[in-house]
Amino acid sequence: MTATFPKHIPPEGYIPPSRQQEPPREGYKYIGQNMKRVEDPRLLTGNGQYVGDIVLPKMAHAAVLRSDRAHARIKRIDTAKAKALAGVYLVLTGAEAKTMTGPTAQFASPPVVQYCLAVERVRHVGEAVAAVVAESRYVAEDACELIEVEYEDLPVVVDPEAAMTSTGDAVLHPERGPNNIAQQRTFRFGPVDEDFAKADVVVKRTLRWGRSGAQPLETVGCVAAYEPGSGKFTMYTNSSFLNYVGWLVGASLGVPASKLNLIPCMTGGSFGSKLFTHKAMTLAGTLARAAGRPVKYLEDRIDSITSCDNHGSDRLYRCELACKRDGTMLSLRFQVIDDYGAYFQFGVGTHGNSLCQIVGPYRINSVQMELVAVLTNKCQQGAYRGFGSEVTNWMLERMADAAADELALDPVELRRKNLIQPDQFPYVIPSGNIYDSGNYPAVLEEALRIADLPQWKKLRAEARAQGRCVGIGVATCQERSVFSATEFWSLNGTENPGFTLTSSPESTQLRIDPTGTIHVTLGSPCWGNSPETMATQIVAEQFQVDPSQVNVVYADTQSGFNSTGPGGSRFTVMIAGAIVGAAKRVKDKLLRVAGHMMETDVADLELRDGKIGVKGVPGKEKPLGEVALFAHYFRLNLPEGDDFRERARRELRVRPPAHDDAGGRPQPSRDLLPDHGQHVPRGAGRGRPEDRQDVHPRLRCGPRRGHGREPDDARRAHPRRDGAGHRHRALREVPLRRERPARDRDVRRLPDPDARRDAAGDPRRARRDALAVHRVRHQGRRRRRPDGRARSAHASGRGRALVLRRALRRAAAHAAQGARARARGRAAIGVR
Amino acid sequence: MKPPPFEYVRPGSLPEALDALARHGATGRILAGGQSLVPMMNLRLVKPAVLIDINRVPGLAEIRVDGGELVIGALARHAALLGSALVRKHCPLMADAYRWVGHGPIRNRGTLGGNISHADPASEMPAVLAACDATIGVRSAKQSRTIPAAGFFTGALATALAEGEMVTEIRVPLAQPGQGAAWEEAANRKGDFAMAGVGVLVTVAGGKCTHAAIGVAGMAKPGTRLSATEKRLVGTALDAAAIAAAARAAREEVRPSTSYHADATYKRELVETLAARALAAARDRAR
Ligand SMILES: Cc1cc2nc3c(=O)[nH]c(=O)nc-3n(C[C@H](O)[C@H](O)[C@H](O)COP(=O)(O)OP(=O)(O)OC[C@H]3O[C@@H](n4cnc5c(N)ncnc54)[C@H](O)[C@@H]3O)c2cc1C
Repeated sequence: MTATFPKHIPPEGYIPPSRQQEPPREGYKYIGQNMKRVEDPRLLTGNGQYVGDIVLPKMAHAAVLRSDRAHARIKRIDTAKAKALAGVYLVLTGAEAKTMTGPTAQFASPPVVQYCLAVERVRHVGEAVAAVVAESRYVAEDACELIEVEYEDLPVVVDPEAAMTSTGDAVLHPERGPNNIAQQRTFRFGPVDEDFAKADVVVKRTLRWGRSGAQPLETVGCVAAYEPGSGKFTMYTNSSFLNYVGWLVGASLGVPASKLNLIPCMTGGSFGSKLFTHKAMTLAGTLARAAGRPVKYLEDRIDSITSCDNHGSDRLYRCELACKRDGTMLSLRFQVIDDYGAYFQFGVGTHGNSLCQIVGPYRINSVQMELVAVLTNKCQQGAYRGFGSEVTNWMLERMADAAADELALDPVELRRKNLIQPDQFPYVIPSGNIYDSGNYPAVLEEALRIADLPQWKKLRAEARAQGRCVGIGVATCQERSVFSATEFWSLNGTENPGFTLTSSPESTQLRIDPTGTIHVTLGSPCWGNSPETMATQIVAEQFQVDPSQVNVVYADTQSGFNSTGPGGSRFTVMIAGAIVGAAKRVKDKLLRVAGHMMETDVADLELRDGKIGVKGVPGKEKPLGEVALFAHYFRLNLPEGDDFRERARRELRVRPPAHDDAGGRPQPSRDLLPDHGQHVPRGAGRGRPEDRQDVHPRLRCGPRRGHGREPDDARRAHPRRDGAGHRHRALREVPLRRERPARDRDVRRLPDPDARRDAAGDPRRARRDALAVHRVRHQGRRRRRPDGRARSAHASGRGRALVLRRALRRAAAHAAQGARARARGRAAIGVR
Repeated sequence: MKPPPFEYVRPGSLPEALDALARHGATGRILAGGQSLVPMMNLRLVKPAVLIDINRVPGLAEIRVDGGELVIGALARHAALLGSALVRKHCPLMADAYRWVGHGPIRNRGTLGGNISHADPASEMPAVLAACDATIGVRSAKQSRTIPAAGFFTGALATALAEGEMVTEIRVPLAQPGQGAAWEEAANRKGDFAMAGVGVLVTVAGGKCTHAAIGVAGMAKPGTRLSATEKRLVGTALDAAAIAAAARAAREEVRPSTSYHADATYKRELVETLAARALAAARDRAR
């Protein structure tokens, strides 16, 4: 099925006016300053309070028996011996669990039904087959060994292309239809055929991006308790999305959200792996209810590796890039087969995400994508850093290099030629997204300057003369800012878009207690970045109080407002605006109370050094605590009226961009920058990247992730029927600190690309282009490694070219990931 | 990833340990550093009924010189050996190779005795000990004996240790003047087991190689020597041509296993590259 979308021209004033709450300025006292992270003392002293640290009275421990088959019918499960083991409270099979708990949460439409324990059939190595609740994890695992399962093996599908034509027993979900295609659809944006007709050259490439995933130090887990009296569940969870979609777990368990309270714990590493964690919650809840006592289920490393929800994209691209002879890119047409594994929890959300930056920073006039989502006998895809858009960046960069190759153009020159120019913003890309501003050429020039390309070219020539394989890769990537769910789910369904425009809010609650401590409640958990430090800085700035006077807490689902939580580099950007908004409301009230107490006009008051004082009159002031105490305990001394009544809560919503008048077409998201950016005082939250203690670790992480996915994982992810895949996964090499590929890198924040001012004369947007330059060393990651001699290829010239090509591909992967290191990273150069 | 139930005994002396070993026979296992045994138990790949923890046995962790030999107690930790001035002086090949063994926390607990008893073919120390013509001191409740390193390793994860026997010490002949040693290795990540490792010991007198020993890791059998290649080197000047020829010979002589991370062809290629480097480095150090 093909859907065609006309190129969309935005009406005048399409980008809404600024909702900036504070104009950008310099000279902040706390924001953007390098302060010690508020989160660190408890983390560094081992008092983080993770799910694993939670202990409830009478709590039992669960372990899961996992399939050692990639695809099999479960013919018989005998749990008698396991049940008879001393210390075992409960043994549950998939068939039994199904009578108590419904399918796990799903975002695909139509869904691929999945249960927290496999029913009748296992579809990947590691799938949960039965669960045991016992007095300890040790006993639970002993009991798992005593469960007898008789399987009837079914044909195993591991090749995504082969999956497209599977029939019979090789079909994983026969109830959905006679094949393993979960979704197939062609999307056409703009005059693709016309543009191809104009091309001098069509560059064709087949590209393969293998699967990779996160490896969080802390695995996914949940402690669940069930009170039969009230029918209520309480769960301690490391989900990042608890205040967003936590209620869906209730739906699986068959209880309304009012009977489910999710309490956030410290989250030990995410990058997608902790977004939802619904399988652990659903399972722990099911077990707790059935066993009649609180249950802790915490994945161990094998559980996590074989049955996680954070495998990333696994794509095969067949691409055609239509170009003029001078290198001008006209149109991009591709088929992408994406191997989603055995289930389909997030549908093709990763491609919605891809589509919102489908042309990267380039002026490509039209795009056609044929999307084929297939199901195979692998662990299902979930959310992993980049959520699919990093793959598109990589594909584009490979195609740019291929075009440069075929047209005998300099790869930098080719890119330069195709960049969207500063005066073309706001720029509507063929898929409908709007890039609001940018100065890509400036970013590229700056990157080239820092990278000192001539020097590297010299080194490359020298190295090659010595027979070493050294390549230089250049990538220019566009990374959209915060998401709204629209872009993920808009491709759902076959007939109609699954969702229309959505909002994905972030909320905060701010209050001052009688001692003057300012409490900020976030709807996220602490997932390891610096949400507390960020919130503390903003609040301290707003109230001019010492950061120690700010207390940041995390809301459970019963007290929290709707909040999306960390994901897609959105949290700081979103919550900063909400905090500023809430702070302003509370500050207003505070000043009114103080004005009354001091018999002064509010306009004459200011906040300074933890006090409220009369402007220009040093010494005439009251400590914030005194005013707060008065407001709490002497309310009757205050005049009647609304002025003194309210509490401030604030939710920041991404305002959906103006409606698309083309009508009815899916909305692969508009760029959401125009809205969110204005809430953030310049430098708020993110600060100057050079200054911030929390930025560099993330930057280093970016290229390392590119590095981590570089072995051709396609070879490795193959589960074997004999279970060998199970063991092999345990051998996957996670790059460690010493394997860091980036030797040095540079981050710059460039001048505001948009010099226009709004009505008030303030800069329209407080945003920046930023760039990251990564010098990636490769063979050097191990100093004493056979230099340049890569596998079986070093002898022949052909081999060398191969290695070089691989090197370039890797450099592009690093760069693509590196660009994600900052949400707005724009250009990255990987030098290898 | 929890081990099945087991009993635990902690002897306070060597005779007590040997007694326990005799008593529990094949169902008992020695626990030294635990860096190989405990992960295997957690994966339920081995299920010993009794663990005999030798960590409190006194005198087992010594590193000393006795006559013409460096004597290393079975319980000497990797970290102690890596940092030992005695090892650097008297067995530079071991010192060189130890830089490639595991990570800090693993080296802090792991022991040389445990390492060779485990006999992982990818492990460095079996190759080092074979190249150095070391001997392994072994005891049971009834007897003690000495096994040459080359005969100690009988296959992947298999040794000449009989039921009831344990390693108590390792004896390495002291390095001699004119000798040079070098270890070269390729592993995917720092601290991983070797895809291939080559240890070289050469003695040079009057510009000619009088003795050469090459031990390789990452091949089918731990503690493998390349005796044919060694013979080719004796009498040569260890010049570039001789080294290149020997490296090619090494490539043919090894019996590589195919592992998950490296197939046999690739391992042969690695051996050639690594052998050439190790030989050149050892030659330079012999001067
Ligand atoms: C992540 C990781 C990386 C590693 N990397 C390397 C590497 O690069 N190179 C390398 O060589 N090793 C490596 N190791 C293994 C490490 O060196 C182990 O410490 C070593 O192999 C076993 O020593 P141990 O003292 O821990 O023995 P244990 O684990 O306690 O025991 C191992 C086996 O030997 C037996 N045993 C122990 N002591 C004796 C004795 N005195 N007599 C008879 N039997 C005994 C035990 O019963 C058991 O069967 C690595 C381990 C890990 C976990």
